[in-house]
Amino acid sequence: MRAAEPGSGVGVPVGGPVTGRDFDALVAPHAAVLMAIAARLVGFDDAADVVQEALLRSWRRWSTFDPAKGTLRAWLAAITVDRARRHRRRLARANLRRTLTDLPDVPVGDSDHARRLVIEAVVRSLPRRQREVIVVFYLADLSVEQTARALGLRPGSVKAHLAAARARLKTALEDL
Amino acid sequence: MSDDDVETAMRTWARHSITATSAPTFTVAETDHDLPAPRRRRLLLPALAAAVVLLIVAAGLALRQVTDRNASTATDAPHCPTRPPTSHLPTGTDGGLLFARPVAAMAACSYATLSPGTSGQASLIASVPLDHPLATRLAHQLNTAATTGNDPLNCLHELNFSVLVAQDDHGNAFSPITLTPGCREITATNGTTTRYLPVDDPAVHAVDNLAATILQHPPTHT
Repeated sequence: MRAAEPGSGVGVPVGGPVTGRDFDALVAPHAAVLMAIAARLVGFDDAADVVQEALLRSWRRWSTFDPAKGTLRAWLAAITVDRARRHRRRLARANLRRTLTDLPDVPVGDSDHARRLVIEAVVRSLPRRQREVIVVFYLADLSVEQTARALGLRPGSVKAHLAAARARLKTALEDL
Repeated sequence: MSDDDVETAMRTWARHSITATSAPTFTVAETDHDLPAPRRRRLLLPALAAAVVLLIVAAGLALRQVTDRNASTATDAPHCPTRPPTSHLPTGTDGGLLFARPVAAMAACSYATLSPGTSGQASLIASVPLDHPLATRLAHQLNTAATTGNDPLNCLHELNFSVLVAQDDHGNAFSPITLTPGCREITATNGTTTRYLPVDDPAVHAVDNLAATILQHPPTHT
């Protein structure tokens, strides 16, 4: 069961005119999630820039947020993914393709940490679309349908990407 | 390792990733207009182009009305407010009709904004009075449009939007309807009822671009 989304707009003018302070309060609970998503899509070095861009854009286009179509978190995640794609294209055009930051060494005896690092490594090695699906699905804690909507995919495609990614994760975790 | 184990590991990884991430500090200013120049130009040019087209169409319509005094035209069409109504923000839908009574007169008002998403900062750039046949047709299209939308969430609608102001035979005003073009559909809402019109539907595309509609399907006067 999914937890209630913090800052989902109860008592706050979601979708309506907002002041800068309202907006800050609305997006604050989601900022860490957006950073976590951006970091997996463009790397930690550029994640803050992507999130800033995404939040600025969502502020300017606040009037187009339609709660009937999805939650605030899903909307912000979708915009963050969109900004991350654009960021990667910009880097590619400038011939500045970057590799994601190297992972730190695995501390001996810390199996949980080791597992997280393996997952992190596998997530970063996934094909772009699979990576987008897995980070939005898990980090934003969205359903298959919400993820599909956020990424402009069919639910069936999301399920297929999730299955493929999980299979790779399972293999990697079994080798641990 | 079972599938459940993988799922648990992923959920744990997600939780840890978020708690271990320091959220960026982000504050917006009410007067946040610091768009870089190329981007500002990119936003301004379509707005100006739309304004020019609509003004040309409006001038054409005015001429048509002057030359056809017997027609049931839009001489009594409601006036466009200088600032758009706040009800253009969709807050859900009650599944009802946008026009529950026959429409007698209607005007399309085009607004542009470069400012953050607060409707009050948009400005009227053009107003087009619609004659009775077109107003009726438009009302019918909107009343029969889908009640659920399919645009992807990351589809950010255009900054420019149109508002339809209409009244019935007794001069009673309908709630203003805001039309916002998106990626696959146009959102039409009066704040309580929302309809979604596919942009690739030739008939509905007319709603997205009223100027083109009037040029391609001039109102007939009997």
